Amino acid sequence: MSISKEGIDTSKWVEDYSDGLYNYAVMRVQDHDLALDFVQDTFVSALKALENFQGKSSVKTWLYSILKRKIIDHWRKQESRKTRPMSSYFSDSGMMKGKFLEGAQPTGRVSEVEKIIENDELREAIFGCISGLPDNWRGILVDKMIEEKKTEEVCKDHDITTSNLWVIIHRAKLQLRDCLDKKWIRQ
Amino acid sequence: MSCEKVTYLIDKGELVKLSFMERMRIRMHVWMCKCCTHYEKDSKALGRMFRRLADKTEPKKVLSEMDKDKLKKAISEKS
Repeated sequence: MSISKEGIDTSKWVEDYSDGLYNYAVMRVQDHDLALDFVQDTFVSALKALENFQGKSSVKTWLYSILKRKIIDHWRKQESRKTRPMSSYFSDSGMMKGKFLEGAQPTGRVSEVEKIIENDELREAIFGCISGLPDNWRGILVDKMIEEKKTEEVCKDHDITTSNLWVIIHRAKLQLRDCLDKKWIRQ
Repeated sequence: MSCEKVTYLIDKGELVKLSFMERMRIRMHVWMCKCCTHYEKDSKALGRMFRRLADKTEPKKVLSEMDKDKLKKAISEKS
């Protein structure tokens, strides 16, 4: 690798961008080897497509956009994991059963533990639970809730409507709450 | 309104401003329902946990030299 005919120095790409790209990928796929493969594929695709690079954006932005596309394509190809029915997150043994609440009430308790648990432990537990989310939910949750990207941007990247987004975030939160509850509140 | 609908609105409300009616519905329901009171707290707690995950002061993972060499080698082979 060296300076291409387009005048871009590609020899430092690994040094300059691999850590950042890797962090972006591993956050979303929660797997070291897979994330590394994505970074590698990104560089290879970028080198092959170098002559198409218009220089409209920076090399960095361009590399991230290639990586982003690869991860989303990967999720699309995979069969999505089975998701639990909504009713499984609600119990019907509540005090006000049937009266005002039409049955089910949400189960579990997370806010209590937040205060007790050490930061590192909490991080690990949340990452563990996030990795259990269906692939497309995970990407959407990371973009919207952790990186706090704009709603329009997330919807465009993942090709969903705004109401899809609310529903997915809500369901992901229900599942995470349930997971955190099971993983260490009741251990 | 059911807990299912209320918890959805609670989560939505963390992301966008809800209408006056929607907010009233949540307040009425939460006032009567202990589980949704908890859910509302938990929803906010989860939001705080997410933000903490994004905290830029957290050390980012750095690839090992070995991983980087592997990358360089694979790239030069394939390009």
